[in-house]
Amino acid sequence: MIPENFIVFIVDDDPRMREALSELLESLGWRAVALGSAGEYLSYPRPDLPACLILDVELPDINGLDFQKQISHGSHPPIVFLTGHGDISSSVRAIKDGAVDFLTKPFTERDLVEAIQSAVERDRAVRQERAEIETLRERLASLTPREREVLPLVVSGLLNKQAAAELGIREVTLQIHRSKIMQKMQAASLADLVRIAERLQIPITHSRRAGSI
Amino acid sequence: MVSSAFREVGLIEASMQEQAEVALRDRERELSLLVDMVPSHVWRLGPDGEPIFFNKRMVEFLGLDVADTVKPGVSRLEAVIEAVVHLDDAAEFAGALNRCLVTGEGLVMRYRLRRADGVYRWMSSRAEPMRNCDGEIVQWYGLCLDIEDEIRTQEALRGARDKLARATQAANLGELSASIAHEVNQPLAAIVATCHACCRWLSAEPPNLERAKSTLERIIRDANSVSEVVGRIRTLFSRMDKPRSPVDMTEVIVGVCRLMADELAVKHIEVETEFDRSLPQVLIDPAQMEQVFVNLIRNAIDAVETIVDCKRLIRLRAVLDGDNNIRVEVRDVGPGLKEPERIFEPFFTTKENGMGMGLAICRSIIESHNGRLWAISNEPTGTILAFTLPIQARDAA
Repeated sequence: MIPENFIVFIVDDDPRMREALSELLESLGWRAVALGSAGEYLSYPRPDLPACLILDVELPDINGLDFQKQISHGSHPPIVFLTGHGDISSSVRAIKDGAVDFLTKPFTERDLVEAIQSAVERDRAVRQERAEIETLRERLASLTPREREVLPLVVSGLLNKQAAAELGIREVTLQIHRSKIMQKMQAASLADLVRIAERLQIPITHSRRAGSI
Repeated sequence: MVSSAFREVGLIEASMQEQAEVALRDRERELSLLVDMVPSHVWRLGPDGEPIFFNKRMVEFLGLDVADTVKPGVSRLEAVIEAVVHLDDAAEFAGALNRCLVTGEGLVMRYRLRRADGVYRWMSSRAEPMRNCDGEIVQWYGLCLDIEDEIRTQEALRGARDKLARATQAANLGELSASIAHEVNQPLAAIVATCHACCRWLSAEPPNLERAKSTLERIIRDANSVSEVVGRIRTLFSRMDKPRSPVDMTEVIVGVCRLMADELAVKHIEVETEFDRSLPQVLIDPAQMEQVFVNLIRNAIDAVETIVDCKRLIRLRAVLDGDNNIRVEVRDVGPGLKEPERIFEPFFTTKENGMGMGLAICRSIIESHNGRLWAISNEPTGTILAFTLPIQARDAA
């Protein structure tokens, strides 16, 4: 069972639907915020919690599917679509664009609950990943300019000697930089550091062979 | 003296003849230039039908000249027809031409000719005989006009019209049923969700009766709004009670048939009518009655459209039914219906992209005219849609 610290956004232009969905989610002990349009949703200050967005396809200000495209680049929660008349092509399009589910009104409680749960779980995973990357970025930011030069060489697999030659410094100095980097990035091993570099998308600029002297 | 005079006359005659021959040659050249310049195919046949001449344009089009058509064992005419006339048109063309050769009547026909690149194009062809002073045919002259583009345009136009008609009908019914579905679905979905919430409140420990009660109130409110929607749809149909005037039903039927003539022709559907000559006028709304017929005939079209092995036939009948009613029937010879009565239910459809609203609307129109519409099986196959209307139509209560 997922812990209850998440929030469900409901965006539907029909006040009866908003009311009914809020009531249902509340009876399940979940937190819900019901909004009447895409614009209202965008201007609502979203708390920093895992979330799910229940989106009516037929919105007054924009088509739900177009709205999905529009917000796909921001950090918005996964979407569960609701529609009055489910046609196959829109549902395929919605799912392809990353929606969790596409429910046709009237829908059963079970379908809705399952969709919300998997959406929230997905958001939780995304948020965790995002948080981890953020931490790694902060660590990366704590490196000195020189250390930031050394890092790609080390993760590219160059020997200390080769990396030192590349930068025109002594091997001993390079070793000092290297251990500082390991410390600051909180990497347990070189393999760990390579993984971190990969997650931070630090490009491998040299291969050992190309850089061989 | 005399002899020199004769000689002179002879010289004059000789030079006149020479001049005449030159003029004739010039004229011949002019004519043949003209024949080659005509933007059509010109050909000539012997009295027995053997090709003698194709003009330059025709030679270019066909990619062959008269001399190229020799084929052992068959006449030159047969060889030409086999080589250049479309297989589906060849027999008809050969038959028509032979008839002309025998009777001496002119030929008028459309057929497809094979162009040098293998593409067939529609031609409109005419041929007339040239007779000598004894009335015997000495030659046939033919003219062949390329009408491919014209035919294409006509086909496209017909296709477009057909599509438009279908789209209009689909849009009207589609929009209507989509909006009804939306209006009903929206509160229904709210009711279902609220019912689930109500269950949750009741099964909580301890039960939250306060919330259960308030959710029930909302359920009642939303259910009422559904029944309001249904009421509104009812009024929508009964609102169609427009002023009625005495109308000749056969005129309405004939009018609708005319409207749909193109569609019927394209699909090779034949319509037979049987009208009682003494059919009295009835009080109806002509526009609504047209709507009924368009629907009934379109249903019949859809039913017979699939027939391939026998005639696609729709029979329309308008007769007296007792003293007080007229009875109208639309019979088709299609595959028939499994559940004749169900077809009047809204949203019931046997068609892949049908909305299932057409006959439901027809029935409500007929009933608003105090009539009755029903369906029965046609013998040996097909369906009869029949309705009766009172001759003295009283206003709906």
